[in-house]
Amino acid sequence: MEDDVRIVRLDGTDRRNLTNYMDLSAEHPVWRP
Amino acid sequence: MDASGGNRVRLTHDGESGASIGNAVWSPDGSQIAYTATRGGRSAVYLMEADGTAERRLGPDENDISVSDPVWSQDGEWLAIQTRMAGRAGVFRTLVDGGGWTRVSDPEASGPPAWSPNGEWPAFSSCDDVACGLWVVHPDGSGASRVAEAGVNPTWSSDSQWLTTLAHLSDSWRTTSGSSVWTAPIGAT
Repeated sequence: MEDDVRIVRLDGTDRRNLTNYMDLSAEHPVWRP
Repeated sequence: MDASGGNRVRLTHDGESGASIGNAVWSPDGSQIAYTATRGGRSAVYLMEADGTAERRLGPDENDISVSDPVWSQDGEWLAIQTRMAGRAGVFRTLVDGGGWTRVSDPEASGPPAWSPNGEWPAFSSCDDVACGLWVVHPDGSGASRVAEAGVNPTWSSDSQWLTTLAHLSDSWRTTSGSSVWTAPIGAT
């Protein structure tokens, strides 16, 4: 398993990978209000 | 029930009918509850006041459709749902009591939709044999746009300008679900 948490701007122009770990298993990222 | 577990009130009364109830969600103002149910072998979305009165069926009225995961828009005017319907593809629309359900996911969706806080964009993921992409669309079905080539389980920032996604690189996530996302205006049903 290798997951990445990413964010993307609504228009798709800005995409960022927030994690860079080997064997990362991630689920359900949530924004702070 | 209240937070301590007291004052329990039963809102549905299907008894031994074999009905299956699932996925109950409060409207943003707390006045109504939307939920999915299979009654008489047909799956649909239902809406009731928070005290259990004025229950009505919102559809959709298609045969062989399975409905799940209703999500309210922040203004309480719309619901987005996930459906599964064997053998159906492309854009499909139906009318319910002058309002109606609009299928907004084309291609097929995978997983429940996530509604932007400003109410303008349901987001959903769509998977093919290679990867899961992330899409946004207006609730009337217009403006569909793929904003990321990989990603599932979208969540919105509070300003509705950013989405988080999970990019799963395991083959087990690269599956086609055959489901779709629909919306309907609440006031018109």
